[in-house]
Amino acid sequence: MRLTTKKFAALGAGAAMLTLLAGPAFGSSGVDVLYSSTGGTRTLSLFQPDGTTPLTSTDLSSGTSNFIAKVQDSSYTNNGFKVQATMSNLYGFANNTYNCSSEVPSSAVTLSSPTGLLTVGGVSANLTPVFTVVGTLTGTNISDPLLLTPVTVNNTVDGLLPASQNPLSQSQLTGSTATNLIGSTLASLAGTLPVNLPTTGLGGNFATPDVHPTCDTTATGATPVQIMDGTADPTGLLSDVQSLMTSTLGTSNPTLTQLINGGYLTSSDVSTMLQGITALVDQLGLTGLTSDLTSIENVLTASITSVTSLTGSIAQTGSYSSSPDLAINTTSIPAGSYKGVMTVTLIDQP
Amino acid sequence: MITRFRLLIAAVLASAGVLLASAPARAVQTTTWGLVAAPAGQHQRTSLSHPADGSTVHDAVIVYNRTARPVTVHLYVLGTNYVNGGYQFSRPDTGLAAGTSLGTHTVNLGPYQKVRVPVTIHMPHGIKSAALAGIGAEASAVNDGDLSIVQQLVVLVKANPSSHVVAPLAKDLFPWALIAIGILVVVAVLVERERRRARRFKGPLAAPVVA
Repeated sequence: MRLTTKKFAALGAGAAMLTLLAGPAFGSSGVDVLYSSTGGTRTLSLFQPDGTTPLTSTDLSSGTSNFIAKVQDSSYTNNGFKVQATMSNLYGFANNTYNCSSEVPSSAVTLSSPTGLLTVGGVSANLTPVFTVVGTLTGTNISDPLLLTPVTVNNTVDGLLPASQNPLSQSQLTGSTATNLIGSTLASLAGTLPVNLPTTGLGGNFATPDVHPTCDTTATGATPVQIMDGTADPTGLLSDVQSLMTSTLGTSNPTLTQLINGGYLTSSDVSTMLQGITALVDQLGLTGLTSDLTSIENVLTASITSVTSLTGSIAQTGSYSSSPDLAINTTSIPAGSYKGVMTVTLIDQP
Repeated sequence: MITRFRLLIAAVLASAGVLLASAPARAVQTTTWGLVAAPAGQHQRTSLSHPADGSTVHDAVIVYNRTARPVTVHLYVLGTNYVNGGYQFSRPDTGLAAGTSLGTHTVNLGPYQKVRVPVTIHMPHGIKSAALAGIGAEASAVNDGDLSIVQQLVVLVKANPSSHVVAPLAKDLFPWALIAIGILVVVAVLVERERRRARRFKGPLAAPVVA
């Protein structure tokens, strides 16, 4: 059969229409996708107490056991997180068979997360400081008689961090040279970290059981016990950057020239910001603005007022660790072998 | 004609390749596998967040294998409540979880494979505070001790009372619109070429032969 040009065109148009209409449905039908995780990852790792052997089970025969839970951020967005655990009942297990009528309730197990063992290390943060530029420009202070009416500036401009501070290292953020921040050191410096680890509300008793794959598949509403609670804290980063800039430039209220020379602003960004000030452009014109730029930068001052104007502008790296203990109350539990399941969950806090 | 069909098929396949490209996204993961909300256009997300406007939202999560060994990941919807500083999960019988479904509940991942799993969410309407559900994922437990440890990752599903969040469906149409436009361009080029060829072919035959 020979296809005429019209038929061919109709076929093509039909294919295009079919693509547009049916495409989204096809795209959401479980196809493989290329996916790069280089945009940032947050990884949960569970280890035996040695800190290196992956944890797949633990033994409560002695009445207690412990493990390490670690969350590693790699250029991750400034979100908080929660690591929590739920526990099934433990059921009698002998000869590779469960005895579902013989159980140890999950409530007999308690998890404690010693706050003194919470550890943070390897933290760094990339961020965009936002400067608020202030000052009054007059014909006199910028030496331009065309500026007849003084112009008051109060505008924001996105800056950057100097190469030596981008990313901000853990020592720059905290002022501490310790490799790992732990215990009281961590507690005193928590407010300077992109994510801090509050110590309240951790640990507890598994009052309500989670499902057990063999003996209790319908359990619901299991009690979540908190292991770690990472709280995003961009305000801490703001004070970090403010302090660092002050110590770098020797003033908390530098001129734009000082900020440009220090690597915190570019003259181009300042020029763009100034071009948005109508009262200034109307008097000087864009050409005059360009020729007066150096003088203007000597007059105006700026301070860092925010680090979060751009969504996702903060990317953080670092590890957060906890060393929880598990303890089982063996009172009134008949001797025997029991097995259960503990689920450790990582939830991102959007 | 066969060449034209080949060109058309090539154009369609080349367009389909766009499906395989995806922007980097923020991912939560274990040491062996990971779970992430599918990007909405260029927007990377850590949750599936949509306005509670009564609509049906077609969204997705991506499950991926970080290792050279096969991994099977089980996915499920979780009823989710934020209670006493923690997330309490339950069967998806009520609320937002009851209106959330997955395209599949088991994903067998080959080495370093990534799979997009559709999520359909029937958004509530007229709620006054955010509603939550969860998409939970876990790999098979290793039963070699008294207490087996399962690592679970959860991507939250949120229904927001406000309408500030852009529904992803319109954004999802964008790449398909590009594909459709691409096909139309290819077809237009082929049609034009066919017309020119036809003119050249008709020319000598139509001309009167003068002896």
